[in-house]
Amino acid sequence: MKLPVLPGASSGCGGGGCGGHDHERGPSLECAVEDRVEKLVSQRLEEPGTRRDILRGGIAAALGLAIAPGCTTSEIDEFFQKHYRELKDDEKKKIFARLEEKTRRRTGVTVHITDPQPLEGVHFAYALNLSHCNGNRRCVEACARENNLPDDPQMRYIRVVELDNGSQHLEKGTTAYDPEKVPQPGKFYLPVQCHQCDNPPCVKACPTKATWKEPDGIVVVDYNWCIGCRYCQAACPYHARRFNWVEPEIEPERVNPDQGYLSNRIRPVGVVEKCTFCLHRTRNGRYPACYEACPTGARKFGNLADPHSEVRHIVENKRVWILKEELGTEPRFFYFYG
Amino acid sequence: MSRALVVVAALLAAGCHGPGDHAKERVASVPPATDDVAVEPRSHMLPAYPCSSCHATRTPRPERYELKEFHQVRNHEFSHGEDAFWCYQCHALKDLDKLTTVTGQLVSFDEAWRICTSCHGDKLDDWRTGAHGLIAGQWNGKKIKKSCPACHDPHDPRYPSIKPEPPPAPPKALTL
Amino acid sequence: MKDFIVYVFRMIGCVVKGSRNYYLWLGTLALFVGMAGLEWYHTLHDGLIVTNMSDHVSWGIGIANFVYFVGVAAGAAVLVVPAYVFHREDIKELVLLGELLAVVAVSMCLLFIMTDVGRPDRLWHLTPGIGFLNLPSSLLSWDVVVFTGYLLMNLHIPGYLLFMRYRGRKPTALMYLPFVFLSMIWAVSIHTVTAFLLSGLGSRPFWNTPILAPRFLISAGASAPALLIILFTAIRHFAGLKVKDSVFEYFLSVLRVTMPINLFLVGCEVFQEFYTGSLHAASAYYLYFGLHGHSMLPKFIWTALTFNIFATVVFLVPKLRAKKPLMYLACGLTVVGIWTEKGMGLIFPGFVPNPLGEIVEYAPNLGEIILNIGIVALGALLYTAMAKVTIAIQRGELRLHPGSTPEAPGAAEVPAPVGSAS
Repeated sequence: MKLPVLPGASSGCGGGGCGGHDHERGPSLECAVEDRVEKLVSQRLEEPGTRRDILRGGIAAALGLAIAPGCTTSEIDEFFQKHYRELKDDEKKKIFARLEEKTRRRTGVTVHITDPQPLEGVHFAYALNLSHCNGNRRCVEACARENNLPDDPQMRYIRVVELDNGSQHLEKGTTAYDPEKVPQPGKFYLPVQCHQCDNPPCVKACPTKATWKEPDGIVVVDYNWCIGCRYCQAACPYHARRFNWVEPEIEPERVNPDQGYLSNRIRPVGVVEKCTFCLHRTRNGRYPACYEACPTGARKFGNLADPHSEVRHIVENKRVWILKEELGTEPRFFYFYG
Repeated sequence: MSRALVVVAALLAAGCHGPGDHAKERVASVPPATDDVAVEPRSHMLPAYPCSSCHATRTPRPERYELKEFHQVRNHEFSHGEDAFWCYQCHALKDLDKLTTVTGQLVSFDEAWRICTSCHGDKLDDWRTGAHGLIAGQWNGKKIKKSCPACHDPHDPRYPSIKPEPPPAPPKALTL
Repeated sequence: MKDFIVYVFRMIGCVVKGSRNYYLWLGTLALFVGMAGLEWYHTLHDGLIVTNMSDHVSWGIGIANFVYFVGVAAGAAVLVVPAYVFHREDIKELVLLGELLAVVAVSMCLLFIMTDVGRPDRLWHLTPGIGFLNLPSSLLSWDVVVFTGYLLMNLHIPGYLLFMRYRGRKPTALMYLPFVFLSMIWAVSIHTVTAFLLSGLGSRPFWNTPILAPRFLISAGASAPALLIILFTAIRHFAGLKVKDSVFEYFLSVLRVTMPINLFLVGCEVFQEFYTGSLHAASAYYLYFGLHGHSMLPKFIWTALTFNIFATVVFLVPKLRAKKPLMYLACGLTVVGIWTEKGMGLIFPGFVPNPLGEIVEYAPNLGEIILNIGIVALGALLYTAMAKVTIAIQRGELRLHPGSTPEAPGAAEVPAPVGSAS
């Protein structure tokens, strides 16, 4: 595991470097987290320049004039919509209003789209206690309800693998278990969802930068920028990403109206999506839906940078391990046997 | 013999830094229960509480026996501690509205965790730090933690097996 | 540039005039293109759910064809190198036809991608300046760059040379020769980048191997000459273009090298997967033997291997390759065998099992097959049209000033067929 830790080590690091610890014993947890985050922040999109706007404005005007008679204003706006990272606040407001109106027309439900920003100094992480997970899949269904995932064709962000005691290799397991009661004797259960990796192969793969890692660790997708090439789906080692093969249909009574622009708003056809650690909840201090649904307390979630959080204590003191660690993805998802 | 002791001591001193070797430091690093984490009170959830509403008029039987008669609370087999335990292991004979430790200290039903962890000490550390158990609330604010009996019926503590939600829908059949 | 506009009109005029067979050929191709167009409309309307792809196997026949035809595009180098480096006159006459094959192949690849993405209306997001191109991280972004470059290069070189020929002017070496030499290296790069976009993925152990890029290049060097043999035989027969036998000898000599090496590389992969016997070999097991009862692919790969071995033997044994029917059969089998090995035999098993160990199979449905055949038909249609114009200009039938003698190094005099005015 890449984060060797010192018991009780909680001396903060100076910004930008780790000079205040004993190098022989390895860096403390904060240093490793700070280093990782700095590396990622420096890979963020460059600041938008005005040249891009002028170019696009010119092309938009020309094309708009050419095709305007056949399209509504909102369709033209949607076609020329900029990348999320370039949007200003007033543009966002207009976009959210347009999307809310679209949902209202399709489902009759009035929804509210928000755009919570990442909290300062927060680095989300998930810890999963495999001694307690009994494979009941309540998390899978709660996630589907919270994130407006369609039932037909079925889309689920979380998959639970049933493995024999004695093996950790996924190819020897099954996701199709359906016994009367869980846990079955001699088996253990491994839920897998997006690990919000610190070295995400999906972010590397995306040709249009439609998916990127936010400062609080969550890897997000701009559903209005994604071209649907599915290269990220091929690149993900955890089978975490889902594609909208068809326009998703959600029954009106099952629509969750508290929506985030980058998370659980109803997505269009032809784009990729995945677990976002329920950022519309977690960036407001709430726990993700899967966490709250888990009846056994196997799921632990919190801020890795907070020395008093449960996840921090688990990562520092429990025998945590990482799925497919040899691929170097550096996930924010830690499994342990508690 | 003394040389062997010295060698053993040296080995122990030079041995690996596993978490178990720093037991004292670990205890210090376990944060005290803060105001932000409250334990969920349970007394109001208990059926037939306060127990004294019936038991005030009944004489307690201090000698060990098997409960066969009507009792409002129990409806399944007692399965905890095999034959070592019986009712007054945890229930306070002198005040049936309270629980008791092995040393005779009275503990409220709201703090039943003190009784459980007096034997299950390994779980105390995990439960206090949040690695074990259910916590609701805000990850960065007020949390409410469930006490042991919320999941583990003290009379039959093994976590029950439950029916799982259905498996993922099978992939669509290959059409031609 | 009034000359150029007239030139374009005259080219179109040349394309629409032809024999009855010519119209039949174009008509049949247009029919397939039309069907593909309808199928794509269906996809645009309903979403990619009309295909047999799923979250488990998210790339299918479209990407398989893309990978194969990138090899064909790169294979144009098989003509460019002997023409310009070794100055073989017999090949110099045909090099423009080879470059046009590259143009058509790259266009087909772009169409395979366009009909496979979820939001073709957003492909402008890939344009640097108004969108974002994720360089240097994303190999797919690199693919966009190298494809655009290769397409432009291979449009420019024949375009310039033919326009000069049409005008009866001597082409300036600086206007095309640097691009010619660049295209030789660029041909390698387009196929290498395509291989890298697969081999760079740690999540797919079947692709995550260094041998993928060499395999791609060698198999391109095998399928391109085989295809060119068939193509130039057809052109010789239908357009009356004189193609010397030495050209075919040259292609066979290339095949004599690339086919055995291709088999060797397949052997290297097979050894590593099965000898180690690690769980990462699951995809290889699925391809060659089937996995846990799922065995759709083994028959295809074993057939492809048989074809390739048979063809290799034919190419290597002089007595066998001298028999024309056998030689043509071997070429056909090579094209099919390498398509199977590189397309279905690479893309489909890469997704089986998926990263969580689940097995979901994939085979294209009728709609996908129609769409893909239609794109190939469109390529054939474009190539027929462009080749007709090229041959007409090279023969002197299409001239700005009819009757003038062309002076153009790089495109030697081609004897006109009997009966046509020069």
